[in-house]
Amino acid sequence: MDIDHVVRAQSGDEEAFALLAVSHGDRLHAVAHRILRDLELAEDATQQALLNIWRDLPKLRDPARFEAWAYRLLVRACYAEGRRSQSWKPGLRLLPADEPVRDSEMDVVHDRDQLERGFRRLSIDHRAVVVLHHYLDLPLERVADVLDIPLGTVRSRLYYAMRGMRAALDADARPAAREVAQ
Amino acid sequence: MSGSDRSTDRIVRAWLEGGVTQLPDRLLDGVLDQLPATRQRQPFRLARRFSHMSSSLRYSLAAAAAVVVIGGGAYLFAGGNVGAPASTASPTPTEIATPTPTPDHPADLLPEADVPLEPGTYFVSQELGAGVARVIMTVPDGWTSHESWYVYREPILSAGNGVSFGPQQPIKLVHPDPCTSTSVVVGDSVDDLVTALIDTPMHDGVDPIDIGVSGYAGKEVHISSDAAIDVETCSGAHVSPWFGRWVLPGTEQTLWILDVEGNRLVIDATAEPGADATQRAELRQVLESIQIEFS
Repeated sequence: MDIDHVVRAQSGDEEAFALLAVSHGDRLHAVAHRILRDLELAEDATQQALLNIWRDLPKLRDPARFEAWAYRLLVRACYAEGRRSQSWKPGLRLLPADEPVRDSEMDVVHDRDQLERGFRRLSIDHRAVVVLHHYLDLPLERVADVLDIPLGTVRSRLYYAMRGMRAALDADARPAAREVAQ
Repeated sequence: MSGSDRSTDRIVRAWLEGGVTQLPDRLLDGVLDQLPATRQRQPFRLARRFSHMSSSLRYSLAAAAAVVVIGGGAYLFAGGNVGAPASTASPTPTEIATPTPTPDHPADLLPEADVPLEPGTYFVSQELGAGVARVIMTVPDGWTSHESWYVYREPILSAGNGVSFGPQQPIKLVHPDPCTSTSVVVGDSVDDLVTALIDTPMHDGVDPIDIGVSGYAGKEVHISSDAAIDVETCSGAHVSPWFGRWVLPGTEQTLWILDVEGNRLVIDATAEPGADATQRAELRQVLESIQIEFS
């Protein structure tokens, strides 16, 4: 049970933390990758987030809130990774082509490149809201809780982020020459 | 929500399904391997205890701290700008003239958020061995805290003109070449780390300087990353003097590596290539203001 593992890990039980890391690690890494859009940066962010989780676990007052708290630390690590990496240049690196995309959706995801570019134009703040809501399927109230920001701010960020993504999709129909300046 | 909005949501959701879904085993193993060396941070009991003390008790403790500093024979060296020591000659130690904090201005724990700091005396708590080291520093106007961890003037790694100051997490792996991920394991002593650092091309060639802070002995070492490094050619596109630390090409770091009750404490004063003389002078000023308490 997660809470038991959290409590044990809070008191320094490395085995309990390992179980938490195994059960949550995939999801944390997936979120980091979707926010940062770069495998190496995502690995660094996930690794740092897991270490921060271990380091700060004793300060978590409510073990039942572990998951939300863990995502908060992950997003912070993504911010830090984005700031740290001078090489973090939006629009240069795409996801490997062999990564899974549901076949049934392939017809609507007609230009992943455009989506990628549109997403990379967003700030980490906006990306985090999009990923937590549209990938993790968290209600906006929980997104606000995870990010520790007002609900209105979440709504605003999501609105502007999705408007940017929609603009990116619309740009797909324009001449390629207009899409060079990344 | 319009049909267009719903369509965009659906497309974005489908697109987000692509991407990695598994944490690599090597990454998980790497994290778990580091747990024994990564001390958990307890809630800030020291900070609370300190803040609830009466003024008279604070005064007594501050006075006692001053006695420890002077009685312990602690000394600092007058230094030049970060990363640009003027001489390789053995410096003459000078005693600390103005121990801080003063009774009227007890140290405050650095705020957790990135917020501008009022000029004053602050501390960072760092788990160290079986105890906690409190690094107390006096910060001038214009500095900002970062997550109760370090202070900076201009964000580091953004415009390349920042300076930052704070204790480092335990350093276990030093990169002989900051542009590669190859690393050497360093032992736990001050000399182990100093030796590892001066063996790298980052070291400026100046002999490490003996220092003492609050009675704790150590070394001052200067390293810098080559300004000509093209980070795009580096492993992970990072310039990294040691595992877990990234810097820009041309960054200069003054490290105070101290033995605190048998535990190694590293204080890192970093100046990015665009930092001006005022920032560097302030950085040195913050560095030289520090005191250390261990309990």
